[in-house]
Amino acid sequence: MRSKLAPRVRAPRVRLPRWGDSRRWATRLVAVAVMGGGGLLVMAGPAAATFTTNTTNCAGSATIVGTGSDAGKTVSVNANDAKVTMLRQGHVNWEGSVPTATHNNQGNVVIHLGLISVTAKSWGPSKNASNKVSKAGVARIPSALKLVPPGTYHMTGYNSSDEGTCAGSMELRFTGSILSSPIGIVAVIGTLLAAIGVVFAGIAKALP
Amino acid sequence: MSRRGRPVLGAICGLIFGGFLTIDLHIMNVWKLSTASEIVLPVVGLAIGLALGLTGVVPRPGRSHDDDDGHVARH
Repeated sequence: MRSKLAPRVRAPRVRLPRWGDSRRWATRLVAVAVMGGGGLLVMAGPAAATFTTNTTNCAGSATIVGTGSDAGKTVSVNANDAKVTMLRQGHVNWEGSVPTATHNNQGNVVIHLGLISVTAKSWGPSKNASNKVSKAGVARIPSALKLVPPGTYHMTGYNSSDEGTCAGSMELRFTGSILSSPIGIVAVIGTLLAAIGVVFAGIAKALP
Repeated sequence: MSRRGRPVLGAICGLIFGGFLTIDLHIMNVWKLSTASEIVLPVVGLAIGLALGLTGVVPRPGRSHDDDDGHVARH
């Protein structure tokens, strides 16, 4: 029996978390996350390309002739173009020119894959003692390009000389379905498995 | 006792999910690969996974919501 002198102590009311509370918070967090992702989608719009610097008035073009799986296809690209749909197999007939001869030329072409950058080709320094104002050649598309998943890649290139610099950028687009490359298949399977893991992690543990 | 899922598992799976989703969206030409796109989606995935893991809002298969609420309220 309880004594009348004993102070009546009331236990503090603790509001227990309810189903609705956690769901509201999760909804808010997911909404913020989706808005963040949506904002990035808006930011990631198509970028302009072509020459960024051209103090030497350089010009160039290339014709890509497909072979193997791309046999019969031909793609022409000019240095002024912002975008090119690339072939995965073939030869590139390229040519470049400047109005007046430049000397000690050096440069490179780099493909940017997000955090990774791959140098596709580099040249120089070349003295150009014979004062050539144009150059042409044939290059083979690297076989590694067959494994590159479809998508749009950013490519930059420059040529610097004693007389000035010529630099530009271009978007390379590789066509194909998401399942046409090993990386695409791994990405799809990985996405599904990770999504299952996220959903599983969201299931409340059984209480003892 | 609060409802709770698996926050560590959720965060890890969310991070991986975001990473793979970045590659998927790139392949589908939704966006280009960039430093921003490579960082933001995994972080967003991590946040979603962590939130789901902390709150445990996904209904347990084969159990109704009423059962869940009643179970929590008794503690």
